[in-house]
Amino acid sequence: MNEANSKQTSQVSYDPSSAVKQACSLIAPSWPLDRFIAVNALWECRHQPYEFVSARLAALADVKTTLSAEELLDFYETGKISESSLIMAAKAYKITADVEKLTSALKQSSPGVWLSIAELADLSRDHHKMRWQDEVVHQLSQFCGEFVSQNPDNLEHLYSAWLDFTTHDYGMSFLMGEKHLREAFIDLPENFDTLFAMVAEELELAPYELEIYAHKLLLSMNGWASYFSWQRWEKRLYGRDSQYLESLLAIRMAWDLIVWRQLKGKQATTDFCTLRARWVQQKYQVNELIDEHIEHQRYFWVWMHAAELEYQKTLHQTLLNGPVSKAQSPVLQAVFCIDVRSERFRRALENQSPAIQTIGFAGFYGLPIDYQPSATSIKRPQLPGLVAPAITVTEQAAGQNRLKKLNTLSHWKDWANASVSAFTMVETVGWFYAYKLIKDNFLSNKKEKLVDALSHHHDWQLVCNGQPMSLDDKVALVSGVLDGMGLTKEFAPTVLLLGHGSETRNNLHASGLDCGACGGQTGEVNVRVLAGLLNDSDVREKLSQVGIDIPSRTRFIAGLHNTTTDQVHCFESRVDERVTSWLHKASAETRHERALTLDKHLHSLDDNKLEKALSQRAKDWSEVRPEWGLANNAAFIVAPRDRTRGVSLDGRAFLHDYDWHQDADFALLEQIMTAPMIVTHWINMQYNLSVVDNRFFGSGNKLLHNAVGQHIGVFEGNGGDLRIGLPIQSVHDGSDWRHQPLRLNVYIAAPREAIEKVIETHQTVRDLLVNNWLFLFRWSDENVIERYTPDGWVLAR
Amino acid sequence: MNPFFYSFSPILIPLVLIIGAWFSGKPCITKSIRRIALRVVSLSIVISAILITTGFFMIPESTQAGLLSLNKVNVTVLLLVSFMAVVLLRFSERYLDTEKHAHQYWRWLLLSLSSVTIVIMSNNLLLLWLGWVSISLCFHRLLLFYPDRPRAVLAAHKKFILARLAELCLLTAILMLYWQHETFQLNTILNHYLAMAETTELSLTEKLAAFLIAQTALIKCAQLPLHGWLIQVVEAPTPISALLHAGIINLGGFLLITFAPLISYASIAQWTLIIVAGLSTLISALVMMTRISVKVRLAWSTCAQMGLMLIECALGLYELALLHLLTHSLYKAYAFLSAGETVQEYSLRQLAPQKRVTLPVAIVSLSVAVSATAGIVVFTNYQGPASIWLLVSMALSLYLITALGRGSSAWASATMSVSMMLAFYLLGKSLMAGVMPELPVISTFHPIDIWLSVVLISLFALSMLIRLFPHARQTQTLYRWLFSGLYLDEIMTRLTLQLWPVILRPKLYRNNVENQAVKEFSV
Repeated sequence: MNEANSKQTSQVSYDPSSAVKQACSLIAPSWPLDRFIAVNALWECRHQPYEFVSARLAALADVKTTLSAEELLDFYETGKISESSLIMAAKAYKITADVEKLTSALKQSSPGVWLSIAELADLSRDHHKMRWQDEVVHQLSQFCGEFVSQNPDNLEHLYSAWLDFTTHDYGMSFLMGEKHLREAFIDLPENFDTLFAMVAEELELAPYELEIYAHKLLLSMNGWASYFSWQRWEKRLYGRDSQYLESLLAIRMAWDLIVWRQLKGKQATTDFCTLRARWVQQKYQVNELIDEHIEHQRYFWVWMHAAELEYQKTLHQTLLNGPVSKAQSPVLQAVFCIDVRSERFRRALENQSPAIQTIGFAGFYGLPIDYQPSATSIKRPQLPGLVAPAITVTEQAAGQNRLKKLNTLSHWKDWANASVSAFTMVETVGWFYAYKLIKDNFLSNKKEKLVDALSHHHDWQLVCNGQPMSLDDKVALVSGVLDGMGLTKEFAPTVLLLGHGSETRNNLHASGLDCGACGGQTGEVNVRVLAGLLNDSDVREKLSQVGIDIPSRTRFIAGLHNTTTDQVHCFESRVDERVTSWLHKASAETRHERALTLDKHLHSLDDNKLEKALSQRAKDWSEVRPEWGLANNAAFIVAPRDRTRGVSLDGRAFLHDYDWHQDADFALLEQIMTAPMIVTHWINMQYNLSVVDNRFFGSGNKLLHNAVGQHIGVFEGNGGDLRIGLPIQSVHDGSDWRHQPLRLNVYIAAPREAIEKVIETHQTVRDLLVNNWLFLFRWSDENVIERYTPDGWVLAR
Repeated sequence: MNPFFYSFSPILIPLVLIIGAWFSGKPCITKSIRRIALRVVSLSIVISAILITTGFFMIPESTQAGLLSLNKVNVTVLLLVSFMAVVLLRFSERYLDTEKHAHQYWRWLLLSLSSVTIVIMSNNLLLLWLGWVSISLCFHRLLLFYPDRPRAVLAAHKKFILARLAELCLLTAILMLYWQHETFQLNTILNHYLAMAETTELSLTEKLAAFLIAQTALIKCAQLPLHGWLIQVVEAPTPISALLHAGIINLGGFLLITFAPLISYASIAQWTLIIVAGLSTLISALVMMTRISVKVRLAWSTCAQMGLMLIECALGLYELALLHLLTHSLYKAYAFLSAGETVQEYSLRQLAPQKRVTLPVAIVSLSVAVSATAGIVVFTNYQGPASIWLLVSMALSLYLITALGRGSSAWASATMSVSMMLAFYLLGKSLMAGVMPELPVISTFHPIDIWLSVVLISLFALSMLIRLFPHARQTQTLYRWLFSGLYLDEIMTRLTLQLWPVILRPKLYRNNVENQAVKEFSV
């Protein structure tokens, strides 16, 4: 393991604005609810060792990145961590100690936390008064929500809008009982860079201290910081810059400055003296504090790593001893998303016949598209958050009737919720809500996602740079996709292209259960479009010219794997009967396996009853745990399916098909290591972090969720900061965690040099590996597993 | 079955709920046993409700006397409460299944519901008061379902103080009525007022009692400036919000409807109601426009809707108030329970964006509304308050006119919808009129009517101002005030904390860092 210490931050001299910029660059994006894809909340800190980042976060915001001592010790007692793994893990962290010492090290109390001015002022504040920290965050959060809802396309003037708002506002001054609060704002500078310089001077902060302080303040409202970081991310995808985070930080810093001045101006100055003394002291002790946390957390990391080693050991046994079997002259080829939920289904499907071959590929099928329902102006990205869409997809025949219905519905909703008309709405048609209550409560009903309600068409129009795509472009796109899937010859008569999506009701985080590779939507549009292209005779003709011969009897059929009910729905009626019955049987098998992870009463049901129970569950509007999503994910395996076929991976592994013998220049390998590997790492980290500290990285209790601005995010309860990450119900079943936080273990079947070359060329990949964000293994053709370390390859246990 | 049985039937529902609360409130029973128990409770509620209603309609006289009694009004409300109880039981079964303290939820939920049914059917004023107190105490425990949330504590604390104030008002009113009539029997007292000639003047005690009852209703319905707690209690699980907004909050309205015969003769009570509730409706409906989170928006909307219900009581239109109570409960329960569909609403708005309201549209709809109201008053020789028709006409004309820009078929379907809505309105109104006893109504262009018309037209004008000219300087100032809720709650919160402090100090950070920080930095 690479060592972490507080000297990680280079202490070159820089001015206040670049110190602040540096702090703002550390906040990772969080996507809004309508496209809620997974992300590593510490992504922008990847250039530093994970262990250092977590110590810094613990010192600045009391953030946890490991499980608690009780949970880790419980792992030891239940055998999830063995003694040998523990000793090995300790060695990796350069500690020589026995179990006893490692155990007692967990029980030390944790070092203190660096406090902002508002928090320091709260320490000496009257217990019956409202607290600065809470109220400042609350006010700021309400303001941001309002500002973003009102100016969705113009966020640049956040700081000046706040300044204008707050100089006219009496609320805080009434609430906090501070008479001259409002006047204090008038002295604030119009420009935030001036403000940063002013703060640095008044609080006597050197640039490095300012950076720490700025980071601390951003973490104190991490939800909104992450939201604005997403806005910044979107801008960057199109090559533009923004200063949203600086504006947000300026607001929070202005508040601290006001509190400081407020206390300074008071007659009774003992409070201020205490405040200043504390401030000066903690300012000088910041590096010491981080080092203390590093020291404290070191043992926790040992334990966490021991659990990882334990998992690796078991997985290696499974992989190395698994049978190698190949599908024989396949009758059915089915392509699935790499999602861990596909693993179970693929296994079940392959069990049906040796003539079935399954392939794992990123669920957006390599189509860089956004989807625009015809006659509307919205464009919905259908690809991973890492890239900007290049092609716009729309239906040729418009669903006019449906759109008209939606228009009426939207007109009605607008009217029913408006301030003048809501009264009359209630008195005239309020009765109908009795019917709706009965329907949603007692009668099951299916609700389709509105955008998808428009998309049931087969004729797609692909537009690139404002021009319809030419045949050549289409062929280039499609041949790239087929290459990526490794499906360029030996086509079966039926090739299923399966996307996936969840089915839930009344769920603000629904899109988090859909396909992350499709931007938090179902994969429906992508598979329909690709199937359409591949069945097009013109495209096929041209494809044969570049060496991909698709036999005329081969048909590509698009379908959707419903991950909540494990049903597969094909978007075409002419499906071979044998294929249909295989899919049915595989669904039933998968459901039985998955039922064991759900409620007890589902365990012993027969096929039909279970199918019914699960589809009931998907339609239940009071269900807070419709499915476990990607919980318990732990590994990403990049290898030919032949090597994992017949092996149970418990729905914990992402599977990507890859045969290096077919990849002459290792371009595919490079692609996999820079795109799907990062997406899987993001998913893995989202689940890990939501478990270890749901207060900071997760969105808390679903029972209290309160959507902000209809799609921006959620509050837990009345207000407070915006929340990011997964709800506690997505990772916890009421008594236990359903996801074990393990850093992602990536297995690649490729030569050493090829892998090393990718690591060398790509800073991002290097960062992830060198700084312990994930583990990379090579699974050689000789059936040997070795781990990558910066010093060379090490044989794995 | 015999009349003797029916005379005892009213006790069934509260009894079922209390037994349910006792049993499912036990922490030791397993989840599946509790699930079965709750289903039995639901079934029993349905059966009892059917028994009570049939009993009431078959042998009305059997359920008249005693502590509990039935009449058309309270049977209607009882059916609503039973329906809500069954809906909430079913929803919460799954929703709260894995909560650690679920048993407390069930205990206090069922006890609250039981107290509500007692209040509804009570024929004795002291029993009514006791039930009233019990509701608030049980509900207090529900608000504190997550006791470690400081904002929940603060909201519950504010609510606690106001509830005691309301109870004091109600108790005083009850004692005054006892002093006047020398009985606690509700039906005796009400019959006295029903039989009274319209010209009779009330005694000072009666006027004061009516005034206090109006006060109680205003506090209970969270009218401004005592609304803060209602907005902040979204700190409890969603079904608790649904129970509050679709049930408990209506008690103020129910109280006024029950005491309608008295209130109709007390103009001081009517004026208090119309002024406070009128302003509350105006302000809350406007503040709602500035809210960013779905549950808080719904809470402000409840504040406004309760205002309108109280206004209708003040106008003497009790049948409308009852209609409003029922339909608003259904609507708001659904709105809260389905708050998880908000993202879908966003997609809808994105897919089918609506054209902005324009100035001509606003002017046309207001003039159509005013002339329609004038037409109704003149041509039908209408004697009641015109303002309420003004509101309906404003709303319906706005629906029609915003549909104009969307082609002729949209216009045709909008016309259809508007006529349907009007028909439903009249139907609902006359249905409820059959339930309510006949009472005097405020006459057309009575000062109360004129005041309310001014309030409603201001609501229309100001809301249009915000939608039409969001960037004008005046609008921005108005918007800012509305966004801050006119600072009413901030002031109330500070007053509360000064008068009756509560410790608002949650742990700053997980492992008592705060104490450590104090230790480390102490100088």
